[in-house]
Amino acid sequence: MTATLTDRYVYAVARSLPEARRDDVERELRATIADDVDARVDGGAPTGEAERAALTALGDPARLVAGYLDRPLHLIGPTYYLAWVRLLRLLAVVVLPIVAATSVLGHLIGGTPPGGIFGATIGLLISVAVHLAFWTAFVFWLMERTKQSADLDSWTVDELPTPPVKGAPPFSDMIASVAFLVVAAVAIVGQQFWSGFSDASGAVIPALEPGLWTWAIPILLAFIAAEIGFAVWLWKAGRWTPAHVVVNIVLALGAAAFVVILVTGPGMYNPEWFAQFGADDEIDPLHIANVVTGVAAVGIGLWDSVDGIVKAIRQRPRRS
Amino acid sequence: MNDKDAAHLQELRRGTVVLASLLVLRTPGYGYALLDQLERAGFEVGGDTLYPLLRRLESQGLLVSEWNTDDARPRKFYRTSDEGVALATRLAADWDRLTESLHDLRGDLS
Repeated sequence: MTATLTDRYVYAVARSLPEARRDDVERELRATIADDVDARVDGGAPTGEAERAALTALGDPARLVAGYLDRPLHLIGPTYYLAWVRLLRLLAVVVLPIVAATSVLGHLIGGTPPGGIFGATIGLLISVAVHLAFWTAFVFWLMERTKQSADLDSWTVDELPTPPVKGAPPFSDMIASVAFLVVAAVAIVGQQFWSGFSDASGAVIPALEPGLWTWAIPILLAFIAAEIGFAVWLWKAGRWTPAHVVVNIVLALGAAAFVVILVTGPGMYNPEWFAQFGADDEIDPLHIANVVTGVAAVGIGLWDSVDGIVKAIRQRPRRS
Repeated sequence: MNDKDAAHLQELRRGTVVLASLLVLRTPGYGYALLDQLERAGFEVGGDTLYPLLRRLESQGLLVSEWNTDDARPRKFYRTSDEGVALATRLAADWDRLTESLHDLRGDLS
């Protein structure tokens, strides 16, 4: 016996309901549909058409299921929609240019012809944009599904945000810092799997010294995590306090010192990787890279420290 | 009526179905009959809204239900609980108050 339209409709509803409620809803639904069909037949409609019309009137089973489950029919509701759009726009504005610049630079260094650079960068941008949209939507979707109505009810005026004082760290700074740090972390981890070179057996030759994985790379990643935490902390505080200035200096100089120790001591880069560029008696690319990295680390660390001090001085005193 | 009107009308009517159902079901009734009754009374409501609503009201204790197997076709009968009647009374009072307020607001427009 083939399933009737009603069987199929009831099945479509029942299968999405929790076991405990399924039978009861199914019985009621069958009676309801049968009542409607009878009413339409009494009204003069042929049986087959009456069933079709009754089910059409009842509408998409998914809507009915949503009603029974009391489940939202949207990905992101009004509570979070604007926040999501704002975040997405901001991320796109901040991350996409960084990605584009990094990609172009990387390909230029790698010697890719201009046409190839353009194509690869466009492809990468599309892929990153899709990831940004998907993952942010996913996070907000989760928030939408897990939010407690109490969250909204328990709101008090004390939760109102303080308007930023002039010269306060802007949100865009925080996002830019975090985006940059995430890119750096991805690069540090990623060079192990994609460095542009592989040896005769096809294994990737990492750009960083592989021996560092046991100690230095985790420390570098920890510095990055700490910097991310700092960026968020600073933004949340809304102003540079003496504590922010001190922590900023400690982190900046600490990271710089660590990098200097690496390049002067055990070495940061993988000599094998640099060997791939070809040997030259006059210049040693590894040595140049070490010097440039060390100088850059010190320069950035000093600049970052001073930057924090200057910003702390420049901000207007908080209105009391 | 255009789409915008329809959307506002739907917004305005949201909630009236709850009150109407609680009032009608002071006499026990089953889903399809209630739908029919509401439609004839001028409440535009679809089964996809009403049937889940009945279960929601039941889970809130505003309706009580019972399967009636006397007929050839077993039906789930709903009846407004005491709590439901109390809520309906309050809602209806509020409705009356709104009607008055609306009249005042409309003034000579009516």
